[in-house]
Amino acid sequence: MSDMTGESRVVFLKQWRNYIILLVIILLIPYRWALPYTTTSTWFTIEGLFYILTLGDNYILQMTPVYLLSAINLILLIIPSIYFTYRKISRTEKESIKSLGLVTILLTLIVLAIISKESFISNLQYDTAPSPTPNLQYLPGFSLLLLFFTIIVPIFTREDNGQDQNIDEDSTGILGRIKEQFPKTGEGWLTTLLFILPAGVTVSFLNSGFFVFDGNLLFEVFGSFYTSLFEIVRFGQFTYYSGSIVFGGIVSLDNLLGSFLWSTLLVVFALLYLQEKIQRRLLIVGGLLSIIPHLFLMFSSIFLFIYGGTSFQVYVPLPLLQICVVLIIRRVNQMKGIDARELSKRRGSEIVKVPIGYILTSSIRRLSRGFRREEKESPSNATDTQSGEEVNS
Amino acid sequence: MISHEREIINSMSGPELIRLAKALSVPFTKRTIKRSVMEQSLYETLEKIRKTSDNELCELKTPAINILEMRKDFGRKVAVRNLKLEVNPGEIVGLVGPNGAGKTTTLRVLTGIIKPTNGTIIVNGHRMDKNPIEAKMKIGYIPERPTCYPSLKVREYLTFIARIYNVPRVDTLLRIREYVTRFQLDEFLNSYIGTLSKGNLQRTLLAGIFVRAPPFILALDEPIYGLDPRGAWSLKAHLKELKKQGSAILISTHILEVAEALCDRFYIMNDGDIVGMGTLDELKIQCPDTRNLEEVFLTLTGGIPEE
Repeated sequence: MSDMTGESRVVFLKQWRNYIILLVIILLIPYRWALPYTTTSTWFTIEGLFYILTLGDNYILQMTPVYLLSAINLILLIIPSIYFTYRKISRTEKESIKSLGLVTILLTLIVLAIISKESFISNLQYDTAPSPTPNLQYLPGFSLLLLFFTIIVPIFTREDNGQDQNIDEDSTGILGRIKEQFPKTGEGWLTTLLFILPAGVTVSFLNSGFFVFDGNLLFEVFGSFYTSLFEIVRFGQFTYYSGSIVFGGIVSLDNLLGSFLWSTLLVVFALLYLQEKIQRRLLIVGGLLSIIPHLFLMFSSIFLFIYGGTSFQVYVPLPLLQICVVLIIRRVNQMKGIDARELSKRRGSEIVKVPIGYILTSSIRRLSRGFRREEKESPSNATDTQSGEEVNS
Repeated sequence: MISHEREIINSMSGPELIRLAKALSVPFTKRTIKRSVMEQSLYETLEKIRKTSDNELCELKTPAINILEMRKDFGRKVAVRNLKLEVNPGEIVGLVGPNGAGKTTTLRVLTGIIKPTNGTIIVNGHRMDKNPIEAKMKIGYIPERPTCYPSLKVREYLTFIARIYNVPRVDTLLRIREYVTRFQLDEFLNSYIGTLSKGNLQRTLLAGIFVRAPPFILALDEPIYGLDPRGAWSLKAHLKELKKQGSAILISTHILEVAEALCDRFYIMNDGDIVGMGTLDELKIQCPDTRNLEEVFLTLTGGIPEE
């Protein structure tokens, strides 16, 4: 930090203070309720990215312990972003920070993969099943939030002018057509990252336990289906045991992906809606899609209960995180002066009322043109008057 | 240009479309008309006008701003001493200096508000002392402390400015809509200027400058100061666009981050004298061991204070 001036250092520290406050708030926001039904007890859990809060029989609060390791993990994940912010502040607004941002994203993903691998192996000794324990599951979500706030949004708000320069460039070829699809606003760039980034975060997390083709996800999902089929064939019917294996795989899948990949889907739909590229109906479809994993979990649990289980859980998604992300995107839109709703408010009704005075003036003008046309009786003048012809609604 | 105007027409309100129809003499004899039909009709008429008229942008003379050996005294106090300054078309030049360095005086002399004690001011080839109207017609000025006619509404002020600068009615309507949108003045269009906040007054004055035909010669005194982040962002982006279109812009500021991000060249003033000039790289050579404009500025205006 030696080449940072006093003022830049203050900006840097303030930015990081804001990021940390924001990340802590979002880590504390619950994203779903799990409401179980058991024959023996009543309790429910509120799940956030960083914790699971259990309200027990006697309404005693229990919190999943956050290990010291988790705190170290967070610090390790934050380091590339801190470096990015430091370099960003040192550079002038004219200098591009895109490639720096890309490198930081890749670095964070590598750090995530390494952390996940180490923590995964260390957790194996406590668990019989090779699935990450709860204290690891916040990692992809946390990394995604971190990259979104500290890298994507700063690049997006800073580099809009650079994108404007490309509007008039050659639009032939695949790249050109892609550019044409996302002119001016640069939101397409953000949308694309919203798709790619969660995938990158998830993949680096998933493939950390074992080798790529022997990954945890593949093992859990396909392994459970295979075992289940074997059970069905052996006993000739679907039982609680075979069902629990199948749905155990689904639960693992949900645990690994969290609700983040699906939340991203809703964010993309919301973004398109804000740009008035899709109708409200499609936005609702996006919203429904984003709660699919929760519904899936809920039905699997109820299904197992019917087949002889002793409990089931109802998962109620809390879309607070999605709302946060949508609000941030709206803020970015406002910074760029693109507020589609403002435009539509100003445009007003799709029918324009012409003042009576102007109708009269137009009629007189039209009549006088008609007279002039008759007087001259010249066919060449007919084309001249077409520009002023009345437009029928 | 035409597609840009189409976008502006699409963003106009119903009454604005009617005003444009009147200006373009496009008759409508039905009481209600579909907005899309009206827009198309206005657009086609505008397109015909643009094709038939000589629509080429006039170019500025080089240098667009030329200050030669200018001196300004206030009694015994020398505010500016033998200033030589040039701004070429397609260039943003920063006039930076501490408080009381003579920046605002320079801009006031440049825009003809006060007369220099000595020296010549030439704006787009017109001498300010010999052809003040021609010179003032071309230059746009935003003062450090924005003031304006308090009993005019924002829309009235913008229309008034367009009229005194002989802007055609159609262009006036299109530009008012464009800059009202850009500077987020929609909700204040029918407000009296006397009731506006400092930031909104600044935006109104900016919109007033841009109602005239580009390219512009601009003298902006602390233009970012008083604007919120959104307004500042819009202005910075617009100044960059204007630069590309060939406008000549002189910005006086002591916000060095803004100057560094926007300006191609700098004049650093201290106590009425120019103590440094050139691009940032040239200034860094003049002041070895400096890394940015802030350090160059501090070195040239009394040295970098020890921490």
